[in-house]
Amino acid sequence: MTFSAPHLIYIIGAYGVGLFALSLFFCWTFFQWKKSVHLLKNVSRETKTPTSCLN
Amino acid sequence: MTQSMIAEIKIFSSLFKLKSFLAQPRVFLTFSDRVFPFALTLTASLFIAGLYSGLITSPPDYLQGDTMRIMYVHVPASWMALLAYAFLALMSFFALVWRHPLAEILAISTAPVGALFTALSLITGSLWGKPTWGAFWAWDARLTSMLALLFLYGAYWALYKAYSRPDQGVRVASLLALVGAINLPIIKGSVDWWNTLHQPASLSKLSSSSIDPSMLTPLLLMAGAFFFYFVCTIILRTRFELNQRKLLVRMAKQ
Repeated sequence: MTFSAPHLIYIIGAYGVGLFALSLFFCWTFFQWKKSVHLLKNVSRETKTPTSCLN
Repeated sequence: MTQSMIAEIKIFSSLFKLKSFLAQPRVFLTFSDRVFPFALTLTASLFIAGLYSGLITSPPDYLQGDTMRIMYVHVPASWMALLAYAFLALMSFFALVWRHPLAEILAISTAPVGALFTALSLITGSLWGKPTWGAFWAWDARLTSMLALLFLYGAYWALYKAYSRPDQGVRVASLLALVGAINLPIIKGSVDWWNTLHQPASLSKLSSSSIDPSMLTPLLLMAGAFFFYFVCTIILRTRFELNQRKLLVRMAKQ
């Protein structure tokens, strides 16, 4: 693997941007989903034993 | 009524039952639970194989040199941008005609992923264009129609978010998605109908075997990786949207 120097920056740029954007989007989606699971669990618990009325 | 007509009616009836069965969120959740680990493993494996093959083992192009390696990111991103929009339009059609909630959610989940692929296609295309054409951007038919696709994804999302009730937003956005589907054949045909800087479609080139197998292998591996990445993100986003709707219902009950 010997890349020609003048074009190296474009190759690194394309692969770098591509992989970084895909990873970032996947992590964001994954944590969004995880957060929604926790929220749903909390709301379900709240519905079964309503604590808000005690406050 | 003839035997063939009865057989046709039976086939349509069973297809409709199958469609209704698959459209149930419960079925989707069970299905996605099983598919997700396989899709994730395939995505990672194909990315590793594709990157190794594209950056290490494939030879440089005789004309463009190593710059051609950008193709292994640019072309799969472009294919997936178009495939995602076709899927979005199909789900929008189902959502409008049959009012299936799962089709609505699948359409909404597709829009951000499709926009990401389109943006990646445009960015990597510019980075390929600079050393090849001498410019990052040209108002070429292919580039402009891809930019229009990005705007369509943006407009779809903006319309969906403009309504306080998600079901209303989806219906209006679905109409836009269906109208915007006209852009897909324009993107596909742009390189053949007009004189453009952009090279002809890679798919038609594949059919005439103009790509050497040493370059075709990494391209197909990366295309596979992008496809399974799409499957994984769609599953996660759909599950997220389903949870959001469940939350809204439970909050309303409280």
